Amino acid sequence: MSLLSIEQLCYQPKRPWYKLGADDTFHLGPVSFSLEKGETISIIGENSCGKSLLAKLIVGAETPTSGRILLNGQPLENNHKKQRASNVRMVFRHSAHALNPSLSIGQMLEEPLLLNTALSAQGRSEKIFKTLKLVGLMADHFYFYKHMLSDGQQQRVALARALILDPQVIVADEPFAALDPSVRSQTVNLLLKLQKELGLAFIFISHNLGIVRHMSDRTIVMHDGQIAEMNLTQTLFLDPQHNASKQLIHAHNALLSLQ
Amino acid sequence: MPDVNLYDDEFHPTPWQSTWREFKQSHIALVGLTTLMVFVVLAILGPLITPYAPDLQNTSALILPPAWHDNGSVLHLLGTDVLGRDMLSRIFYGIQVTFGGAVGAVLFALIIGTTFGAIAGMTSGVRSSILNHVLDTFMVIPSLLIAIIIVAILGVGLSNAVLAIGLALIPRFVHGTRNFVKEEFGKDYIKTARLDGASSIQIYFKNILPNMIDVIIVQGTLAISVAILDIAALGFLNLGAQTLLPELGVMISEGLATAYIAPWNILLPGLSIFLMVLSINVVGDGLRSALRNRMSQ
Amino acid sequence: MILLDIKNLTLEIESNGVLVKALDKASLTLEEGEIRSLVGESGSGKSLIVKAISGALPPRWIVTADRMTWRGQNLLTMNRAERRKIMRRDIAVVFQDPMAALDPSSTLKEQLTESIPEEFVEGRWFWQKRRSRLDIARSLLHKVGIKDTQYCMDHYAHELPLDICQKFMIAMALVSQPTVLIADDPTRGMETNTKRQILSLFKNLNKTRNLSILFVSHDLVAISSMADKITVLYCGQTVEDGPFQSVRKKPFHPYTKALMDSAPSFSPDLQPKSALIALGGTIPTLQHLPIGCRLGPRCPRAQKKCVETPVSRKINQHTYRCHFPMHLDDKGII
Repeated sequence: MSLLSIEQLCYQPKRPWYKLGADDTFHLGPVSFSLEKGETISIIGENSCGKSLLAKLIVGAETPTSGRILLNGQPLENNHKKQRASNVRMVFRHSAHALNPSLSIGQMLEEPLLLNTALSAQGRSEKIFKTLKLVGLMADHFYFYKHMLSDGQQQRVALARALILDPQVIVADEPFAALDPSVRSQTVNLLLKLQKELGLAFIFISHNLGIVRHMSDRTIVMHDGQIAEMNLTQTLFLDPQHNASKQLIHAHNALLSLQ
Repeated sequence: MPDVNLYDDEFHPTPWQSTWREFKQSHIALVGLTTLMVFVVLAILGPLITPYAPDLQNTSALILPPAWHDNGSVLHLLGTDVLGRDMLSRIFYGIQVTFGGAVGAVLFALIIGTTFGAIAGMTSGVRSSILNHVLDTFMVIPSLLIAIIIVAILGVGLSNAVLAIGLALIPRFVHGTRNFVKEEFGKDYIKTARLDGASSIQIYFKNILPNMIDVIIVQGTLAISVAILDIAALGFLNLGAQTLLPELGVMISEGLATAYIAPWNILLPGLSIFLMVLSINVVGDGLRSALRNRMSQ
Repeated sequence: MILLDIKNLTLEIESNGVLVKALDKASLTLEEGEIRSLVGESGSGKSLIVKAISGALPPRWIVTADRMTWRGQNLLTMNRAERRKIMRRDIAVVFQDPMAALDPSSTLKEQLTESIPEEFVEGRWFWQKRRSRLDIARSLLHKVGIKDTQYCMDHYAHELPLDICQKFMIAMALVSQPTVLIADDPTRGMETNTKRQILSLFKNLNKTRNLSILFVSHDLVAISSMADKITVLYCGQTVEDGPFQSVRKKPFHPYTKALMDSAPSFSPDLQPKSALIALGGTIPTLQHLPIGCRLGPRCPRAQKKCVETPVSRKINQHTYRCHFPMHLDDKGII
């Protein structure tokens, strides 16, 4: 039984009552795939092909029009927010607004615990310190505010916020886009280490095909709201079948080829 | 719990401390703050230290000039008015009435305005848009006019005037809060809180309110200066505080009759109003730049 | 011919009462017809160098250099009018986010025709001039590869996709027929297809018009597709400089090696899902710059000698500044 199973997921944005005429809005789906424990799947595709939307559907930020998502065989529904929030967590793209500037790191990390667990105050601070250590930050960072941290450290805080509820799946939307190369390498290593230690499954959305090729077991290419191709990463990169995949992979190779 | 300071040479201030540090940089703002503190102290303690009661009429000392004049006497430091009432005591009482009334009106407007604004910001749809834009049109009309209209309906008197001014100030708080809350809800850190399972109310109190307090304080201070002027204006027009009360606007209107022989009856209340409004504006401005600079670091 | 020659440029600023060197003896040259890439992470000072070249530094900065010349003329002693003339005609800059750089309230046509210098416009009467401006604008848009020129010109910046906006920015930069194009991270955040189009456009312009390009970025994959030479900057110090192929094959400085390792595409034999070789620690802030070689605290090969700033050494056009470079072992012997 797979860890996460997406079955025929469809999404269609609600049309406002005043829009008449043919339906030309964006359709997503039907999308189906499965994710095993300890596996990493990357979703690539050109802009507005539906990658971010798919991530939001998996995490629960949007409700699908049809289809279902199964976690360990149990269907995830939006009513069971707690169950979903603890098991499938999201790391957003790093931006100026990713962290709340007037809360300390400790307060930020305590919030998910307050909402989803019944730990005592003592239990909560222990968990926070343990998670800070896990992502490579120091216990002192508990008292820091957002503006005292560098970009890479802020990204780690976002990761800590995802890890603090001991999830089984982490969905990350462009986690490396805004990072410098050296920080990116450190973050990649951190994610690989966490995957080995905790058995996490990752779903990445990225434009950086080099990192995608290095980090993921399987890759999904999306085009126009549908899955164009899904295959083992190495096979996909060596021999893409669909047109959209060919375009992406060839462009990537063209960039790499020597003059 | 481990010790906090890893880097001894680095001082990591809380957001409040860094705001204070930025604020201190401007000398003008500090002067304004000192003046404002003087007024606040007078407003609270003034009536306890006045030498005379504000309506005690001393018929033997009518229209006495201030003490630094040749004809003045030390017993009445700032002179007396046409009925022999001591100006100093009247001004202290007046500060309490005007300033206190203004603060009361603003608190009223603030609590109601921010609640409505927050609800408006959190909901969406056609109905909430209509409500907001209707309130926005009220912001075009000067608050004094709205206050006069409300007083005309409710009747004259200080309490009615304060209520009227409070009502007139609500739209600006609703507008500012609604815009702020709407903008905040679009930010990523609110989305993560929502994914954690927080309801809108929890998000509001825990995540948005700390960010909003800065905005509210700045808006509130500037609203107080408007409220002071409006209360004084209403008093001057005899639509607010009536002649018996020692309110600064009323004092000015009473002093008009004897303007040429006793100009201090107008100048001194006028000067107090001027200094109050100036100090509040300076402090509000200083706060606003301090908050802006703090955010940009 | 050497167009831009910067040697030992030092930029200092006062912070909390202490003079801090944001750029410490940075050197850079740009020759005619070459594409040079300036690689550095945040805090390395690459934007500062661009600002120093274009004369846009605020007056608080103290600028010293052994040499900072444009075509032989000293940029430091030039007066403002001459400097402005150079910036208008010979050097053009393209920035990161085209949406932020374009005026949101006027159509692209207005913006482009407005920026064409008087000298290139033909005709005496104003209608002739307007026609001439439109023709020049259209030909520029064709040159940068925008096919549907009428559609683009009639629309506003926010209505058009990112790649067209960036190509438009390049067209705007080319309007004065410059000799040098400075591109400050123009492909940041772009997806692969768009990136490829922009980069091949740069290569094209370089070949057909002999346009020299200074490409500032930290995206090594983008750079590898078109750069002739590379200069690596770390915390305000130039650590390595040379032809791109030679630097990539055999980096001398540990930092350059770490940068090359951070792009898994450059090491085809790397085992998938294995840990990348990364330097520990973080980039120091301006307040905590190390003395001597600034990579010292993080460098795996650092020793006591590294508290002195290393001198620049050259092997076959490949310059480096390191006491213990990669081609020598720990004791400094081959």
